[in-house]
Amino acid sequence: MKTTKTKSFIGFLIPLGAVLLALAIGAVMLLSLGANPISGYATMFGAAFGSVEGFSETAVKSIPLLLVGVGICIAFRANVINIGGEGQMVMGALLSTSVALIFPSVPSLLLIPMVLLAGAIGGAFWGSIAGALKAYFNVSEILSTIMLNIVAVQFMNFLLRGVMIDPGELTRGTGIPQTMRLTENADLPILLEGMRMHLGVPIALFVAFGAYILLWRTAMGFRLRSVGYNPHASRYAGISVPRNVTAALAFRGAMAGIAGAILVFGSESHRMVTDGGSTGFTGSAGFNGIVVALLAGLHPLWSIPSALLFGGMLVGANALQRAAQVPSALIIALNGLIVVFVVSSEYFKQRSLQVGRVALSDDESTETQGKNNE
Amino acid sequence: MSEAPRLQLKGMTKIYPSVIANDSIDMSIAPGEIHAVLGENGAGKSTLMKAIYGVVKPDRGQIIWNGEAVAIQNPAHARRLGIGMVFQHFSLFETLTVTENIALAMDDYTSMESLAGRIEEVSGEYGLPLDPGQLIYSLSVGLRQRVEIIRCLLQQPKLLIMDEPTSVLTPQAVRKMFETLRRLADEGCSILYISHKLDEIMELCHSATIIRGGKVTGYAVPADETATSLARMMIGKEIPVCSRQRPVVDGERCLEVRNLSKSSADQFGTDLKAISFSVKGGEILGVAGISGNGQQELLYALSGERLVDDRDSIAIHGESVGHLNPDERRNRGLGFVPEERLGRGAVPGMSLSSNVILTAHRQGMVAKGLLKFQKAAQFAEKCISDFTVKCGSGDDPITSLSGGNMQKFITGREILQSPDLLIVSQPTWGVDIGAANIIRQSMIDLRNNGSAVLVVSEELDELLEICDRLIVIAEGYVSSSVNVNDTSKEEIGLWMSGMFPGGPATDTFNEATHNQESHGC
Repeated sequence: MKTTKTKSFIGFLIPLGAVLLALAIGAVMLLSLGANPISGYATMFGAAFGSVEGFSETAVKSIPLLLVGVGICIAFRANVINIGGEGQMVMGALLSTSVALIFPSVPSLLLIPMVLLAGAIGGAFWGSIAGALKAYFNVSEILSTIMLNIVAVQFMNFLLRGVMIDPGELTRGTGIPQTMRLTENADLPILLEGMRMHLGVPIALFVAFGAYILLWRTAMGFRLRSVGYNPHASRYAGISVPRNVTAALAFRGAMAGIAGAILVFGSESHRMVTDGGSTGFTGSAGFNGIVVALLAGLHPLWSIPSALLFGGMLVGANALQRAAQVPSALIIALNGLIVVFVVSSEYFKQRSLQVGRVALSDDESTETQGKNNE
Repeated sequence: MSEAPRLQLKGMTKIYPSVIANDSIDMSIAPGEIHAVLGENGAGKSTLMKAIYGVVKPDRGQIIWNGEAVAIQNPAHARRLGIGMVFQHFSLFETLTVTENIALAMDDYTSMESLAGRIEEVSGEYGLPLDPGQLIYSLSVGLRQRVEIIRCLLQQPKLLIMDEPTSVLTPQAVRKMFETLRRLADEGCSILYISHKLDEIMELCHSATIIRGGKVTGYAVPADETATSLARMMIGKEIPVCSRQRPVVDGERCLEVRNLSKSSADQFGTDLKAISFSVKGGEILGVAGISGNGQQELLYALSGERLVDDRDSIAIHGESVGHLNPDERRNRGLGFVPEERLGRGAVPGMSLSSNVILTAHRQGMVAKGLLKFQKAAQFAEKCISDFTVKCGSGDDPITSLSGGNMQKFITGREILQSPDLLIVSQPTWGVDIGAANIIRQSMIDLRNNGSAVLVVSEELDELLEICDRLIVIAEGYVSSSVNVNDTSKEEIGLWMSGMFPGGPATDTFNEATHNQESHGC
């Protein structure tokens, strides 16, 4: 099985090289802004990974990225492109917040699973709308998911300015569109005293492992991948293509919905707030999660380090801004560079894997590897 | 023949990353000679022809054209030299007319009117009548091939290469084409005739070069040889024979098709017109016909990939299944090998083992929703060894297999599940003779164990060899069935052109609604 090993090694090495190249160009940008790139990067990564506090912060920032990224992995495997992460996060958060508002006195042990489940259902519902439109009416999922983002955000604004608004905001007359402080019973427990690391981190990791099992160990995952590889062969084998396309987007939405719920119940204010747009709530995780998945080669487990890298860059960006006096927008540019390089590197990856034989996609190597480990 | 050879090949070699397609091939063709290139699928015949026609560049070797060494750059260059080629798979635009299609391939500009005139002139001259104004999609496969041939003849070639030309023709149309080819040869045109059909070569060709595994294994004068001796040169051993004991048991009706009508999903496809037939357990029913006469549509309807409007029009074991999807039909005992191996019969990008799971997951490969890779791997190993699939291991990607090996693997996967009803399209298409016999034998064994087998094939010889009964499909109509022992190749050939009771050709004749050419000739 030497070839399999070599292949997964190449599959890892080439994207890594792409990230390093992007960082090198980022260094040039730092230089042109008059900052020392070496100390700049040292500050950035030091802040994100250099201390327990920093890492705890990074881990928390990575949760929505990881969850959205894992969802993207599943959707992409079924050959569905989903840009609706933002809307699905919002819908998941809204449903889970509603549950917390309606059942404030349910004990934590029950309420936390309830709000997470509500998040998953809200996101899955929103995702499956686009899925069903694609599967049964051939509506481009790229367009429908983007449009549904807008609908979800306005729905959030409507609810948070209306029925869900904190009554205090009305009596004070400030009218900030946010809910009241949600019941403490739904607070995600802090795992490390005095830090932000909370239950959301192991939950996200659990979901990533679950997605891996789903995709490569279960009949359902086989059907999803089969539909993604080739709808004709799937139809031939009796696998329903529309049903699996819908399922892929529902899974994908569920994960974004859980991310939305965790953002609410793991936040420091423990309430849901809107600034009128989606990014105020999601921090663009619904989009950045796509990048996480692409860097991870659409593999749920590789999404973990990938999410940590991007989460760390978010944490490090602020430190970099303070230390080197460069705008934190540089990090957005750096994010973009990494995406461009990683996506372009796919070509070289495929080519290096193809030498002497026909194309082999990297996931088969993971599959066979998984089998060898049995 | 004392003249300088028209074409001489010296040491032609073409190496692909995984295989040597041509290994130092020498060959010589005189003017007016019909020269056969004989070999199994994958022997390297097509590569050699493509090198002559300038489609692929040989790695070594010399092409000597009329005594002069030439390096043929591309097909246009070959055509300028006077080399024409009729490919096995046509390259015609369905929405354009005959003239427009031919104009696209002409290297120099001619007005449409004069071109149409020349098409009529040349086609009339060689007894291959063709209406220049007809749209390609309205033409039968035989007529489409005629367009390709006329396209070559307009260039007044000195050498005509024909790649497996008879695979799309009825036996009668084959006769007709042979006349044309003989006439061309009499006029001095050399013909390279690629085929693996021994009887045709013995009848038509003056000489033959036999290729096996990329190498020349012999030169022969076909008329002096026997089918056995040619086959030995071609496959390196005697042709194995299928043993076919006829089971005496008269099984129950396993598949019943009643008044099945279905319009094609393809706008140039063939609609199925009130088809009825049945297959019993313990028999092999063959569906003969020239491709494009509704076979695809029939198979899509039988497999469940396209559902039919009337659920009662298809029944398995007496139960109506017209509304059931492929999975549910498989649960009722159906096994199906489609014509397209990659992208329908198998998922490209997945391994052999994973492709086993695709349809064989009912064989205990899923427990509580989890996949049992061990089981799938064992099944794949059995399939690989029983059907002599040449591959590394079950973990290899399915795309690493050659077409013939993929066919063996997919057919094997379906047969090893011992289906009550097996439907196979083109079972031995692109498969070497040895493997073809394994596949045929396993279908016969399946039948002997009481299963019903439906085989759709364009190879009439194959159908006559393995089937108990035959039906013919033409323009979406199906003939009544006939026992293979009570019919002849000629009768089936006639039926294939639609001339059977209730068939399309008789319809046309009676109603005189369209004046379209009937199939073949």
